[in-house]
This record gives sequence, C-alpha cells and structure tokens, in this order.
Amino acid sequence: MSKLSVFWRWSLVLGLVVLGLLASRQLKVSDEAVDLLPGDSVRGDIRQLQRMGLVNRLFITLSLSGESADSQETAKKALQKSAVQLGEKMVKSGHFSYVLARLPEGYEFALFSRLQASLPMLLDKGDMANLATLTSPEGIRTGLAKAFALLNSPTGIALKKQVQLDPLGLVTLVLQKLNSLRSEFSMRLEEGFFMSRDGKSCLLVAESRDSLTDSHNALMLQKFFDDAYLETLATGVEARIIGSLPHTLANSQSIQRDLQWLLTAATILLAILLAVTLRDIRAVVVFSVPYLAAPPAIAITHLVYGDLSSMALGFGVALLGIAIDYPIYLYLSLTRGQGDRQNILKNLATPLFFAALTTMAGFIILLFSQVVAHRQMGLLAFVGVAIALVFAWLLIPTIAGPRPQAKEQKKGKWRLPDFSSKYPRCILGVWLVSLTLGIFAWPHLRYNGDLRALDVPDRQVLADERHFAATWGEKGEQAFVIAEGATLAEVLDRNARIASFLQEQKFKKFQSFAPLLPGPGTQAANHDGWKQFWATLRPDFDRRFVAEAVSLGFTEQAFTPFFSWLDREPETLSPEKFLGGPLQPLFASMLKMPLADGKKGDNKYLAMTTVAIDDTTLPVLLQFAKGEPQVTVLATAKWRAEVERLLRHDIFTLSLAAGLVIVLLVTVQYRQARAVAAALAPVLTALAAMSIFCYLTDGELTMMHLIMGILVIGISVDYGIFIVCDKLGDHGANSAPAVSLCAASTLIGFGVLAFAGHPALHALGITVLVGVGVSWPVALLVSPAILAVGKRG
Amino acid sequence: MLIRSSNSSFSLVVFLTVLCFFPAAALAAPELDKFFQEIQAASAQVQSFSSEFVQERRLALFTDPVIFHGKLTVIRPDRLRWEFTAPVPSALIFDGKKGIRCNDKAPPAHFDLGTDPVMRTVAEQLWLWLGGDYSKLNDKYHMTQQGYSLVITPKDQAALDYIGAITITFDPASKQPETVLITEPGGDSTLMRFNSYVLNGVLPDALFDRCASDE
Repeated sequence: MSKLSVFWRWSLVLGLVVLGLLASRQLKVSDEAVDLLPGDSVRGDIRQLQRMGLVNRLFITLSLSGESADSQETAKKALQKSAVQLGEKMVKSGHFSYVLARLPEGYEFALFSRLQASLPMLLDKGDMANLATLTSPEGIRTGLAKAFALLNSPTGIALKKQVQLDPLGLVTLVLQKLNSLRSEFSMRLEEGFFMSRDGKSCLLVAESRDSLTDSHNALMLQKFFDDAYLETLATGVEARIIGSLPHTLANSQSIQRDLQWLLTAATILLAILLAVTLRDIRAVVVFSVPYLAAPPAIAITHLVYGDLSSMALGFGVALLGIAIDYPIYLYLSLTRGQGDRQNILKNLATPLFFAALTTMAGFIILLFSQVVAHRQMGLLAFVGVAIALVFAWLLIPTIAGPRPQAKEQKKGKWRLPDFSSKYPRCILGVWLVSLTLGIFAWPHLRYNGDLRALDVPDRQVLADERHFAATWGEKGEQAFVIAEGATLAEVLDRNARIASFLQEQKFKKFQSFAPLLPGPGTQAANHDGWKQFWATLRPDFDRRFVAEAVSLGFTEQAFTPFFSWLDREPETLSPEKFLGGPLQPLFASMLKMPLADGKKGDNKYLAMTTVAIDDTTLPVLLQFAKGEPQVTVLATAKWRAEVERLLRHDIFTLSLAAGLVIVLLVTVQYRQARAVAAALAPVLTALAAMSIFCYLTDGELTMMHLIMGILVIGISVDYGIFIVCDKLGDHGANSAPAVSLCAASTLIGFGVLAFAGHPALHALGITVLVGVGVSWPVALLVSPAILAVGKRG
Repeated sequence: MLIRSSNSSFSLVVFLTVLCFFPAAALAAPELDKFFQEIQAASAQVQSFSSEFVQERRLALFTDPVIFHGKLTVIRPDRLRWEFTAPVPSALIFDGKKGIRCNDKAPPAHFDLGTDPVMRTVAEQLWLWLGGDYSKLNDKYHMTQQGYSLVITPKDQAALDYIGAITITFDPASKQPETVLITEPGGDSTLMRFNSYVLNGVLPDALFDRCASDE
C-alpha cells in the first residue's frame, strides 16, 4: 500500500474522529430515570412525581445514639437544637427548594387566628350537623358552662379574649380538619418538631434542587452533609438519610469500586492476550478501532436525539465494543491468511459485510423500543458498528501485511483439532440437547421490570431504611393523586373534589390540604351554606344565648365580640396567605407552582394528595381519575405492572423482529438451509445457555439481560458467519483463531464484570460470560459439524 | 406530616399561648438576690406541700366576683395537682411532662406538655408561683420586692397584653406563698389565697395519676 494511500486513510479516520469530538462538545448527558421507562403514560407519571419533588426528597432522621449521660429532657433539647441548626444550614446552602426541620415557633397561634377568621369558608355540608349541635339550646348551655369553668381555671387569663370570640368552640370543627394533614408516619408534633413516639428521634424533610439520581449531585450533597453534621449536630446525635441520595451514592461507589479492580484486571489480561497472540505493537490499532468509532457515532446520535441518557451513552459505547471483531478478523486474515492480499480483502468483504449487517439489524430493531434510552442506545451502537467496520477496512490494511515465512509457520499452532469432521453427530447431539433445555427453561423465566432489581443492596442503606421504618413506622402501599390546573383556583377546586371523593368513598388514610385550603368555588359554596344556616337560626339564637349567659353570671355584653364576628364577612382563604403562613413548609411539599423558566410541562400548578391503597382501593382511584380530567393517579403498583407489561412486549416483539431480520440476512447470504443453520447455531445456543443459566439461578430476566442479550446475539452471529464463510469459501482466512481471539477479548472485557458486586454490572458480565462463553465453542465445533454432517465420505 | 388537633373544647384554645414567648433580660438587684436566697432556702426544706385555696376572679365579663374553692398539692420538682372543689369541681394534674385534665362531666383527658402548648404555659405559670426558685425568672420578668411580696412584671409586650403584674406575698414564717394576685391590663384581676399548709406530708401517688382524690 502506498504511503499516500496510508496518509489519506488515516487522515480521513482521524478527521472524522475529530469532527465527532467537536460535534459532541455540546452533548448533555441526562440522568433522567424516565428515559429508562417505557410508555408515554408511565413517563408522564414519573415526570409529575419529579415535579412534585418526590424523587429528590430526603428524609433525615436525627437520633440520640446510645445511652446519654444527660437527662432525657436535656438530650431531647440537644436533639431539637441539632435539628434547628442543621435545618438552618441546609436552608442557607441553597441546595434545597424547601427544608422542613420544624414548624415555626408560635405556629399554633398564627394558624388558629387564620382559621378562626375564615371559619365560614371551611365548614362544608358535612360540618353543618355538628354546627347545629353546638348552637342548639343544649349546646349553648354546655358551651357557656365550659366557658365559665375555663375562664376561672388557670388557663382563663390567657384565653379570655378567645372565649369571648368563640364561646361555643366552633373553631374545633375546623381544627379537626388538621387531621387531613396527618402523614403516614408514626410521629408526634412536639413544640413544632416532628418527634418519634419515644422522643429519641427527630425528622427533617427536604427537597433537593438538583437531581439526586445524578451521582455528581449526590456526591456534592453528601459532602455538604458530612460538613454540616460536624458543625450542627450535638454530641450523641447521629443522622441517617433515606431517599434517592443514599441509593445513588451506594450505586456510584459500588460501580467505582468494581470498575477500579475489574478494569485493571481486564486491561492486564487483554495486554497478556495481545502479547501472546498477535505479538505486534501494531495490534494496538486493532483494539482501538471501536474507540475511534465512538466519537462520530456519539455525535450522530446526539444530532438525532439531542441530550442523551447516561445509560444509553454508557451501554451504547459498550455495545460498540462488539465491533472489535472486524479489525481482529481483518488483521488475522491479512497477517496469517494465505494468498494474495487483494484477494484476501476481496473474500473478506462479504462475511464482514453480512456480519456487520446482522449485528446492526439487532441494534436497529431497538429503534422501535418504547424506552427512550434503548432507542438512543440502539442508534449509537448501529451507527458505531457501521463506522467501526469502515474504519477497520480503512486502517487495518495500513498496518497489517503478510508475515515473513518464519512467522508464517507458527500459524499452524492456531489450528484446532478437527473434532467437527470426526464426531459431527456426537457434537450435534449435545448441541440439540442444549437447545432443548434452553427451550424448556424459557417459559419459566419471569421478567422483572422493577428497576430496583438493579439497585446495589448496600448494607448501610438497608440498615438506615430499617432504622427509619422502626422509628417512624412501616409505610404501606401508597398512591399519589395529582391534580393539575392552569390556574391556582382551578387546581385547588380540583384538589378539593379529590378530597371529597376520598371522604365519600370512606378512604381511611389520606393526606390532603384541601380541607384547609379549598378552592374558590368550594369556599363560596361553604360560605353560602354558613349564611343559610345562620339566617334560619338568628335572631332567636342571639336572645337565647344572651339569656343563658346572664343566667350563668356573665354580663349581657360579655360576648359582643362573638356576635360581631358572626356579623362580619369572613376572610377568603388565599394560597398566598397559607403559603406564607405557619404551615408553609408542609404546603410547599404538596402544592407546586409553575416553574419560572417555563419548561415544557412545567407551566402548570400541581396539588398532591397521598392515599394509602390496597388491591381493592387502587382500582377505585384509577376509575375516579378516568372521569376527572387533569387528575392522575401515580402508584408504584400501577407502574410495576405497566412497566413490566410494556417491557415484556418490547422484549418479545423486538427479539422476534431482530431474530427474523438476522435469519433473513443470513438466508440471503447463504441461500442454503445447512449454512444458515450453521451460521445461526452460535446465536441459538447462546440464547439457550442464557435461558438455562437464568432458570438455574433466580429465574428472573432484567433489563441488563435484554441489553446484553442483544450484544451476545450480535457477537454470536458474527462468529457463525466467519466460520461458515471460512468453511464454505476459500478466501484464505483462518476464522478459528480470529473467532477465538475475538471471543477471548470479549470474555475478558465484559466477562470480568461477572465478578462485580453491583447487580447491574454483574448481570451484564454474567450474560456475556455465559452467552459468548457458549457461542465460541459452538462456532468452532457445532457450525462446522452442521456443515459436515451427512457429507462425510 | 403529622398535625394533631385536640378534640375537646377545653383545648381548642391551645393556640392562644402568648405567654411562652419572652425575650432575654437583665439581672436582679442585690437586695432582691438576698430575698430570693431567703425564699430559696425555705423552699429547699420543703419537698412537698399541700394547701387549700380560695380564688376570687373579678372580670368585666362577670356581673359579680366569682369565688372558687380548691386544694393544691405539690411535690417538687414536677408534680402538681390543682383542684377546684366548688362551685364547679375540676382538676389539673401535672406529673412531669404528662398531665390529666379532670372535669366531673367529662372523662379524664390526658395531655403531654410537649404537644399541648397551652398546658405547657399553664404549667409554667403555676410553677412560676409555686416552684420556689424565683431567681430563675430574671430573664423573663422584671421583679421588685415590696416587704414580703414579690411583684413580677412580664418583659414581653405580647405577654403584657394579658398580664399587668403578678404579686406573690409570702408567709413570713413558712416562706410559702400566701396570696397570689394577678392583675390584667383591662382591670380584671385574680386573687388566690392559700391556707392550711401541710409541709412535707405524705402524699399518695394516686393524687397525680388519676382524677379521683383519695383524700
């Protein structure tokens, strides 16, 4: 090859690599969990959860550790002081959109006066019977007698004005509505602090402004907390966090730990493999081809999709590793093959082209997946394989030339004993048994669509979650009912309808702010009911009341403030008042305003109701949401089934489509059943082996099995095609060493991950280890045996 | 989050608890310190006491002064029973951080000072008169001595809206509170007279864990 040709080839490749790098500069990698989920409705649900801040919510439990030398009261004060200091530090940091360390001091008084002023707006039809009881002649008598006793009790001095304003205790009807804010946690409100029943733990709730599924954000926040604990927590007080943060950190740290030693091990093993097999420094170029193909492939995927999912980027590039087969095959054929160099290249063109085509077919099918990340990954791998093939075709001939005769002789060492010709029936028998076992195992496998199956089971995280459940009670299954609205009035009225429905349907446990902050429509209806009630009662009520008061020793003017209040127009309850009021931190977690930057879908008001559900109540909620526009029910139970159904559908349709396309391509290439069967034998066996392996282990398939299954299919079919072309044609290549080297490098590169502690990496590694570990010997033994059987002699 | 609302009309007013919020303050005069030490020394000798009392409430709300009779039982530092015997029987019991409200027409209502701000305030007020260690009040109240009387004035304006002054007059012999007069800004007042003191007597635990009194 001329130097000019070499120059142009390298210039072209490196030029494309540089272009790819430049085009990828603006690429933003997204950690959005929604990219990993199928179906628009599920993704929409998750986005609403994110908007409500549930994904980025942190629960911090401060606990007194061990036996303190201080008295119980002193220790509790230290705990509460720590909560205040940590809360203040968190607010000042700017990392959190809200921090709830305690309700503000005096919140009771502020809340009470606010509720009192707007009481007529809050009492609904269901309260009228109780109101009638309190204002009946007997109610007046009882109420005034209590007022008399109260005024003469030690509390009388502080409560005198309140008794004058509300002698019958009408405000108790509203205070009962505070129960609607009761959460599912077992706790008590003590001086504004959220304390555990035993008084030894205090809860803080916060929402991070940044995504906590992002490991960088998680690390940054953890650093913040480490420093903040040192500054704010009293001696003997310890903090535990549950939420996305510890899971993200545990996964990130586990992956880092795994990759540190596994990548080192893989690198050393690959270097040894190169040194032993190729024995040439130029072989570095062979192994660099997939890496060179990555930048242009990423750039093209970026141009098509914009921001890429981190999962799509990571695994897309990993899938691209499959393309190592082509340069290895080319290099070995050129350096160890027999015959004219041009002739070798000419004969290699067809198998390489079809091998790449079948692999790309598997990836292109991913473009029809319902999961965004799978589509991005599919395109990246598809384009990457195509580019890698072109790069291999351009670069490998520039570095690979026929070996000197002395070295040529050594290639005999690569030849394997020809078992296939000697014992084809025996080999095929074993192979068929394997396939049968695989077919038997497949229906018994269950697809686990729960992404938590890929979560690392970190000991500390699990211990903290157990501690949380022990301290604050086990949370049952929950649903989040989200009301959407273009205006605040609209969303509040819708939220009130949800609360009414839950009350009518006798839902026992739900948390809603609607009874304390109904929408304008509901407030107007309540006010009308209040006015009608008093219109029928007064002025008789006034006379009866005063007479009863005087008989107890009160003056006639004693309760003038009460009658003035009845005559006064009540204050309308506005969200602004409530959001600036004492329960602001609580409301902030349940009501979301449109975002200032007006992102798509973020320009609406959202109000959330949390409902405890079971198998019977969830369908009732879902049915209600069907009839209510802009009301969505979000529930893990609903998603789990939906995600599993959609992903299972994806697996079957896409696998079937990929299988058909690959069979079609192989059929087009060979046009004879025996060759097609021989080319497909490694793929079928790899799938059967993975099926048997999963059956023998936990019987579950996860998303990792799906993704790496496609990689194994792509790799295995390449092996089959190389071997069959080798056996059928006379292109001078020796496929067995190439396939063996490809398989060994793949097993080292991916297979080492089988030893990872992280479940996702482990599943990835074990899938490749089993699939490629089986398809390799099948390609070397079974594929030739299929070609040989019946032709013996 | 958990919000717990009370279900009795007695506690519906729990939120009007301005007496909780007092700022920091200045030190007492040397003469006052001496007086405190005298009272404190006497108090230190008294681990428990019981007495009868008469409360006279003069409120603009009432046509006439209202007289209540009752019994007081105290075991320092944190057990107290405040009981009206006539004309409307009722009792307030404090036992550490827990307590019971007793009314002859309603079942006992248990409360926790941590979660019931008004009862916390009431407890603070009662211990303010009866605790014996008045020097601790410096940071929340102005205090002056008039003979064997201690005049306590809140420093916080919000509290001054409700209380003008509290005058505690001590028995010169026993150094125990003899009368407590609470004046309010509008002219209302409450006078409590304590008598028949029994110091360091045997007091049954039952007084502090149930409404019914064995005595």
